[in-house]
Amino acid sequence: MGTGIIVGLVFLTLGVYLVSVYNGLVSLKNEFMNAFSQIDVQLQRRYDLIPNLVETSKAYLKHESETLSQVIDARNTARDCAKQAAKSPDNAELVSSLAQAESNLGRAMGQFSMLVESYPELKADATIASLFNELVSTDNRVGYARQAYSDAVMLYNTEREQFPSNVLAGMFTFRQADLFKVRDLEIKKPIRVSFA
Amino acid sequence: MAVTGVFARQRKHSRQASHLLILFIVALVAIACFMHLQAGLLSYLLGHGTEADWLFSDYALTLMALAYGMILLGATFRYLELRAGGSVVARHYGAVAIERCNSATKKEKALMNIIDEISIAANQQAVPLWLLPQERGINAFVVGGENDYALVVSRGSLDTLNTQQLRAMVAHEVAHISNHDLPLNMQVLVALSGLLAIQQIAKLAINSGFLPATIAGYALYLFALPGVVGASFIATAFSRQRELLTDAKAVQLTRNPSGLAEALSFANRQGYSTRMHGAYADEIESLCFLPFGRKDMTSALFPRASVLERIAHIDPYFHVRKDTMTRQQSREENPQTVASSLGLGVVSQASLTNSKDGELTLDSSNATLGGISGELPDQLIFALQAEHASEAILFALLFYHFDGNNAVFLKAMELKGRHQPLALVKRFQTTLAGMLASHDVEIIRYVAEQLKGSLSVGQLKQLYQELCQVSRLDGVHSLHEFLLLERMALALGVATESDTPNRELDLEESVFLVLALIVGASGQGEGQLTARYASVLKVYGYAKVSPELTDPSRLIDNLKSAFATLRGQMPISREAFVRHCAEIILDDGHITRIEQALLDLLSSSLRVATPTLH
Repeated sequence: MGTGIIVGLVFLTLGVYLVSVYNGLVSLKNEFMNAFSQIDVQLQRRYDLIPNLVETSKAYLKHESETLSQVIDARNTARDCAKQAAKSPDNAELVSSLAQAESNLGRAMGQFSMLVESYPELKADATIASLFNELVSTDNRVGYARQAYSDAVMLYNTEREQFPSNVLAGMFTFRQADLFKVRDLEIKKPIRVSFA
Repeated sequence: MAVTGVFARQRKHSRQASHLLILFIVALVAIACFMHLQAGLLSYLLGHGTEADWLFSDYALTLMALAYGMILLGATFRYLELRAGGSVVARHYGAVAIERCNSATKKEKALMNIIDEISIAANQQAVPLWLLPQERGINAFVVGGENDYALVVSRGSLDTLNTQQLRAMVAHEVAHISNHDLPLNMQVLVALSGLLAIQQIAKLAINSGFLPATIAGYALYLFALPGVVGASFIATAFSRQRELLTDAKAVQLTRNPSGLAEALSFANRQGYSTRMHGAYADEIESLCFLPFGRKDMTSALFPRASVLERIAHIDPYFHVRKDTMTRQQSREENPQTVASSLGLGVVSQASLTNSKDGELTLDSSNATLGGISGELPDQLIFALQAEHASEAILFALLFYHFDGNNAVFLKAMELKGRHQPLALVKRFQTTLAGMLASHDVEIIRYVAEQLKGSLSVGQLKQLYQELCQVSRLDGVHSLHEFLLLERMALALGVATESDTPNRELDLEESVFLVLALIVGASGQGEGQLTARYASVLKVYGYAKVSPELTDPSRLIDNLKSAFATLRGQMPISREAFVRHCAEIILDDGHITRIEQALLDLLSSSLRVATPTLH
């Protein structure tokens, strides 16, 4: 009788402990998924700004339609990738493809910035200046959101790899989360815009 | 704190804070038991209990019920005050809400943008900004509870801090929210204010003017005192750990330890007021970005983590790096002035060569500077951060060149009441002796800047006089000691000793003496140099100097007289003379310390503007 109670207590304690470990994993997973949604919010803001920017520039850049269409294409691809990744942030492949699409968009935006630099009347346009400022501000926010996401992913991955969490993670398919790494070094630099 | 170590640092402070919180709870239980014991003893002494039940006599239990009632009442009262939302508390302090509309100024909009960015980094909602429009000091704090936080920033912070510093300040406050410091702080405050309530009632009784009430008041005060002091100690230690944890979290959010260290150092260095005003300002201090810097007994007994301690945790080498950066920056801005201030006179980090057109030029490529870098090694700067280190190192420099009995020198310092520098002098002698020899010029320049910022002119003069007195103890004033003291006087901006020279030297004798010393210090042999620089020396009619002038017992006086005479010459002549001396010194492309010291003193004493050496 006494032994049965002791064994029961041990199992109860173990059960409570495992439940708390499982709940901890769930919290951390939700935290990094929420952090990803922050990136998504800021990226959407960025995707909304780009068509406005391109549309306003069209009047000045009649002969640069190729660059403009490249920007729009890259933006559309990145937006689609972001939508898919937002549905399942714990899917490392989707996050990775979003990072790749963001790299392409960054490259296209870099070319666009250089183009703006070479058109003084475009640089002098107040709407363009305001849109570019907004874009730079959004870019900063994307950076901070990515930082928050990386921190959350690091905590989650660390927890799911430690014992006994790794056992539960394997049983309940807590997949490894992928960091949002931008592979193109060029676009790690903030967009350089000067209206001096 | 390196950014990569920020998570480890957070884990450490979090663990220590948890231990302290447990200790705080244990202490509260212990305090309750102790109070119960006191109540029991009191009831027994007053004859209200027997030996068997004195601890649980009706009288003791009634006393305890009263005490707990008071604690509960005080705690509930404070809880109701603190649980009010952030906006209520912020308004209570006289803060005004800054709305996201066009009426916000550019600075306010920029600050709101920073708050948005940091909130994103912390993965939480943006905190509403409140401004203390009348507060000119630098500080900020965050108040409120779940879903109703308010970040209160003083006008002084907004006007004075740059973007990086504001970002660090905001990150610190947002980190308080992320770390759940507000509810924790509230719980600790509520527990403490319950205990404090007993003391408040006791104070009322003491001040009532009615004798029995006064006596009862004192008894009540003493009854609660151990509890209040014990709990306050632990609460302070807990608060310190949370502060360090918050700093670590702030670094995680900004990824910029220097920004936070810079913000803390800036406010500390500039001596801006950090004091907040308003009801319960003292209690909110633990949530403020900067401590109030009060000098009362409570602050002495229960100190918050000091700014310097926090900087040391964030970035242990911040001051060293900052000093190096400042020196590099000022050198880039004004290389000639800095070369001059370094005490290097017309030659600082390069050698002089004769160009084809005869103009003196500076060529840094082929200079061998005998270890003269113009930089103070980090080890020295680090050593100079200690208190009294600046004064101590000047004595250490003299001590290094002191020819007499070392014990006499140290005893003299002790007699001057300089006990703290004395300990450092001994330490410098054992740990930095090599650097004292090779960096004396840089040390004097660096230390003089530090001392001029902290001592009055009178204190600087007194320090210089003591240096002179101590150096004269052996009855001999060597050339090296003389050069050291003269350079110290020039760097500190104090007049040199007013000893009048025994005899005035004429121009020829003055020039001869200086040239003789320079040629002698070059170590190349007088014949060799005089042959090579015949054309230069011929200008001055240089001949072998009279032994009377270089007589060691009168050398210093003669040199002083020579400087006085040379100072009376036309500026163009003085400048040419210094350049010629520099040319001779740099003949071998190598500057020895004594050559450098001589040249430095010569150019400073002759008040020669640094010549253009290109």
